[in-house]
Amino acid sequence: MSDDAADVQRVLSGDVDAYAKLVDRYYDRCARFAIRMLGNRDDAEDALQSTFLRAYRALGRYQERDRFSAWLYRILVNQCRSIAARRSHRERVFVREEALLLNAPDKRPAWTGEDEEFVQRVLNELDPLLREAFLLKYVEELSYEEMAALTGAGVSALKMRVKRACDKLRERWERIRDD
Amino acid sequence: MKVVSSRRTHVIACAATALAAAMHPLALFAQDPDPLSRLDPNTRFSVEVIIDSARVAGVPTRPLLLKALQGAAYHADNRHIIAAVRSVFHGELDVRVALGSALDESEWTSAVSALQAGVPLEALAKFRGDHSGKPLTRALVVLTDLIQRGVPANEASSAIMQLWQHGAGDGDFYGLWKNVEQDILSGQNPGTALQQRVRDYPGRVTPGSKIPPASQEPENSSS
Amino acid sequence: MTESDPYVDWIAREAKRAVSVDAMAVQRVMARVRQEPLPVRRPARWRWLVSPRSLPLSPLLGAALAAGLIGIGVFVGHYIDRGGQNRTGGPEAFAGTNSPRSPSSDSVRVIKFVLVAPHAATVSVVGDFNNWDTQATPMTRTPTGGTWSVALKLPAGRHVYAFVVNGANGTSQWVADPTAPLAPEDGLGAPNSVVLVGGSAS
Repeated sequence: MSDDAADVQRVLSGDVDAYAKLVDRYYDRCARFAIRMLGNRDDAEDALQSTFLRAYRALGRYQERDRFSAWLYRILVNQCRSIAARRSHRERVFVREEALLLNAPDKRPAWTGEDEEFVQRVLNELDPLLREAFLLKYVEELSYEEMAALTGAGVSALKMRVKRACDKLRERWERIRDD
Repeated sequence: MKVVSSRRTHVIACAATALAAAMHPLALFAQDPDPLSRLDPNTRFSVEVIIDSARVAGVPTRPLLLKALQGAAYHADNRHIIAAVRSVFHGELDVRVALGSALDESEWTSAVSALQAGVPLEALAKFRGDHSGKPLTRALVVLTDLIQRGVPANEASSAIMQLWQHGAGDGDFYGLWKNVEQDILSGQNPGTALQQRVRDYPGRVTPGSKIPPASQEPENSSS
Repeated sequence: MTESDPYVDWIAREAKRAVSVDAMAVQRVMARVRQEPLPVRRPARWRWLVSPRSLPLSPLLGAALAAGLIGIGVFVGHYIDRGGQNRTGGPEAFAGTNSPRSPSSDSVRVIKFVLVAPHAATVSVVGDFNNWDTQATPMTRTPTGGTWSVALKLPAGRHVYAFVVNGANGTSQWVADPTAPLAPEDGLGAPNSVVLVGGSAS
């Protein structure tokens, strides 16, 4: 029995604190997906909270023969889709806070992290379905079969989405040079 | 040279000679379609990321490209190239905080250099405001140079600001710089030299004064 | 990896990096979990009815999401094909500031660069105005001796440059212009001389 299955068993037997171990084991990885998928931390936090809550409620339906991570991820992917659909259109720009330097002359703002911002920016520009497919394939490193089980889409549709995502990202790079 | 009879022909002949001498085939706009190809791929990625960040942030991207090209030409270490490009980008963000965005490209680059030279951000911010028609670039170029030559940054900043507030023109800053440079070369303490020259100026500053016509200046000559 | 594309590989690698997570996040989850009734194992035969389903995206919702009408943030609308034309560059709001106006761009002046270097085999000027191409702008030695010069047409504004002095023995050295204003060395180690073309005062 895997660690995950054992912990699920413990929770179902009444040990709620065993659930904390499951959350702990998967939180960071799920957070990475949620942030990359949704593009901002507030939405990602909402998605994560509701994912783990729903997973808890649905724990009775988890079968030991399923991989817990896949089972959990199906919930996570759905939650990300829900939240994306619910949010109204908002323009979020990754800008730096301009410090009130005239009041605090010793403090220059610490401008950091272009790489992560850049990657998030280009990901945000992808259509959501393409982004989702790209993340599942190349960040979560799932097989197409696993992705199909997770998303409810067919393998060939997923392959096409991944390819189109890569094409779009490549085009995006080309554009930088056209400046 | 053949003496030409009419004055008009003479003038045309001289102009043609001057033009021919002046035109250098590769003088201006190098036609390299992909200048960043001079960088190795990893360095290029990092530089392109920074350039893209600058574009999104709304600050000039050309100075970043030029910095990368300078680094490549100099065969600088790749890490130094990336750091130098990033330094310009971050400098531009600081400049925008201090001065806003209504700057021409020369004002941007001279302001970034001033910060890199050690001008405190709040000192730079004193130049903020409507400076159309005012020689901001010249003032900052002179300020930056003086610090390079040994005038403490705070002293230099306040001296240049004095002239600025008095409405000093392009010619005044240029004249100040030339004189202080001479004084330093003659062995004077840089800070002292600057103070003395600034003391000479306030009474004689004429707002909007201009530098001599371009054909005579600046002649960058060394002797 | 990603169809052997180095750029996309790089994006994937960066995206795989861990994100920083709020230390209290797990505790917040558990706080909510503890308010829930204990989950109960459901009989296997009910599984097909109640197992979590992928949220289906209706064609309309899918299209709306794809068109960026329902926001997942950032720059919606700027990179979408409009009638087959791809937008280049960044958001419109920033288009202006990325190409700041050139200072009095209609004025071009002739600038003469001079360097005394009697022992040099060749000398060239390298700078912003020739994209830092060390081969682009060779200087000419004056017949009388060790002075090198070249005259260039430069647009108004600030330009950074240096001289590249090549010795007969193959050595090459960048030198600042001794009588031009200096800009700070900025980590590259290269000297930076500044020329200001045209008055910035109108």
